[in-house]
Amino acid sequence: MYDVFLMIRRHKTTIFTDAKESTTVYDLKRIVEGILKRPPEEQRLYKDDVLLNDSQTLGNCGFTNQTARPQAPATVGLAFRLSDDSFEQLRMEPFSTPPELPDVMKPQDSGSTANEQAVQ
Amino acid sequence: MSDGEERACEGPDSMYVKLISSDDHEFIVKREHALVSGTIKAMLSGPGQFVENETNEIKFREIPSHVLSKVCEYFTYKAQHTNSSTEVPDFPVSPEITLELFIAANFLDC
Repeated sequence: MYDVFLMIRRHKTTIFTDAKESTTVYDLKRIVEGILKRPPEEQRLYKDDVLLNDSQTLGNCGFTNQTARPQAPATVGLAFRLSDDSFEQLRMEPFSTPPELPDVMKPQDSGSTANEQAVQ
Repeated sequence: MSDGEERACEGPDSMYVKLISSDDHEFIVKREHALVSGTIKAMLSGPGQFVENETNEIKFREIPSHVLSKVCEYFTYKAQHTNSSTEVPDFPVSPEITLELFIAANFLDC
């Protein structure tokens, strides 16, 4: 059974975690509960803008080991229940923007490996 | 780096730690993944000198979210492929973040 790698995102919070394709949406909510202390009943999880059903498996939702890899995890949206029994809008704050590339660094060709980070 | 705010969090054996970027994005990663970074490892397990050991949160005042998110992806990637016998795919880095990522990696010792 394959591992899927996810970023669960809400506002300015991102949780990096992994699960199996057979993990259910409800199981994932339990993981979120352990971290953010909100029970599954107060969570909604989304793939893109589609609300996910508790009983579905992550694989069935479209999270596979091809689309959810360690170096490129898939994004799961998270929304919490508000106090008046409605849920907040799904919102994920975008990350910061990198500076623009200087002209000399703009790619002339593709597939160059010169930018790979050296690992100690 | 030892003037992190006091916040309620799990104890020193928590499974997850929180890394906070300069623009206040909070990245929650598995503790064992974050320990890929020598610097983070020292902050979290050193003998009581760093308040991060208590709160399990580290604020990086100079690392923006688009870089810190990439660092977190690297932690997962490294943990997954260390001691793996399968072919290891490349770790993709777009040119725009290369310099900042290098500076962060240098600071984080990973």
